[in-house]
Amino acid sequence: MRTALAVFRRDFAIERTYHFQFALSLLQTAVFGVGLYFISKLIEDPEALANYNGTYFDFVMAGLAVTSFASVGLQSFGNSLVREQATGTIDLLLVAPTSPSGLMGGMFLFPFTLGSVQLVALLGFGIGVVGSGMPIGGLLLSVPILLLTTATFAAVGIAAAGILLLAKRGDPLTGPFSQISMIMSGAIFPLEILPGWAQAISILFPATWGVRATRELLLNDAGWRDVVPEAVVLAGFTALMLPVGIWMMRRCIETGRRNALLGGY
Amino acid sequence: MLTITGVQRSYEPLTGILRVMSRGASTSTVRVLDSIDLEVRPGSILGLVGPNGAGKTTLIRIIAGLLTPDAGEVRIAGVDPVNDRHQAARVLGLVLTDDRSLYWRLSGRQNLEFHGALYGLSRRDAGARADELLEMVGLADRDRHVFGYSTGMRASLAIARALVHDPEVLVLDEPTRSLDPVASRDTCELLQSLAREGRTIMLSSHHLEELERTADDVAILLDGRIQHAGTVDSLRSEGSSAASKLEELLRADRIEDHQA
Repeated sequence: MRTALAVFRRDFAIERTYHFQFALSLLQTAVFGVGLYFISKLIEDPEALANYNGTYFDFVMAGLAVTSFASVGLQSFGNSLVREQATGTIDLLLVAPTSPSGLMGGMFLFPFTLGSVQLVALLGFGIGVVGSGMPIGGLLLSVPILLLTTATFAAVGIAAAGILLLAKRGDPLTGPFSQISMIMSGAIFPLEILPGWAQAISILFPATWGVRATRELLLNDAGWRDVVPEAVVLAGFTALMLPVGIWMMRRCIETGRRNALLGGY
Repeated sequence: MLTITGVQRSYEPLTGILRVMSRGASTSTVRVLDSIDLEVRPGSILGLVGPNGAGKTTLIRIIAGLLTPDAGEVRIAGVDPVNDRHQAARVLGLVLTDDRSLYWRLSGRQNLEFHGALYGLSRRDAGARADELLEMVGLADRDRHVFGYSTGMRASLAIARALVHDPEVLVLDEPTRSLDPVASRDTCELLQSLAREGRTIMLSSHHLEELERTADDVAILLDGRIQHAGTVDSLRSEGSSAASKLEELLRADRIEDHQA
């Protein structure tokens, strides 16, 4: 935990020196929210959204809350590692007497905090400016669901970072996993419009369960008990995927030590 | 004490999935280190000298545990970095080539505090240790972002960073490479004072004369083999052929560097 917090403090101190980038990221979030609002005006009262309360804007906001948070879990490890490789600091991190999981946790904390700020800004825009009717209680209840979904994505992100440690560039996992999850989870359209076979395999993707639970909480006034099945499935995915991701990272580090592939970029 | 016994290392071309994913260090098998035996006594400095490509950095990466040897073993204060990486890291201070091991967007103090935390120091202890080390290397009143440091200041900070966990053994890869003569002399004096404290120090360099002034013992690494190892005094008398061959190669390296 000490390592993770130290990495968080370091990342925060470094990112503070790039304050213009932070301002731009918030601006991008606002522009994205405005764009989403106008797209939603094109799609008013579609039949496919009959099972969900609220407008298409609310529907897609709930879906994107899950996938954008999950993307942080997916990409933060690889991005951090590539940055450490490029600046030449990776060697000393690998030499230090810390576990890869402590370092990985630290590399995740700052992007996660930043992602949370952006998500709150987007939801604030939705509720405060567009007049979205998402309940604040539902938002709070969806936090554990978001965390569990993010943990499953983080598992893939850690494995991908291990591959990047060896390949330096070209990660075969995050892009396909992120894009397929976006489609199969129904983040931006209802799952009901997918073909039957696609709906059937969509349950194999953690994001599907995350999006489903979040929409129930935010759009259909569900309570915590209503989303217990989704939470249990997500916890199962996490328990299965996270150890595999960490194992793969360790294997990649050992392979790098043997084949002189650590360091460099 | 730092002991290196029978260390061998070759670079093999990558095969299978690794070949698809990455470019290896070599496209054919190259023996980089061949039966390296060295011993560095506590309180002494061993200078490892050799031309470009002699295997100095490979040997240092093996000592650091960043690379596994094909054969042989390393003991850092009695600890094997292959089998007990964490304990080996606690007794080893490492300075890698150039100053790319520092976070340029952090201050010198923040760099030291971060590495202190990585080595298990509490925030308070890491802060106190950072102040102590900045004072020691003469950077206490220049605590600004590292990108504003001169090359010499960064070299000093890299040494301070290596000392953050008070290691018994210090290994430095060409710490004076980019320094002007004054900064280079200051760095060598700092290393000598650290050796007087009882630390075991090994440093690699391109500059034989510099090592003759700084080190107690010198090892000449040529073509992956130790061609001479002994006291600085014995270098000119016994190892005259190795020393003169080395000087010829180093001169060729310098001309090449200058032309580049």
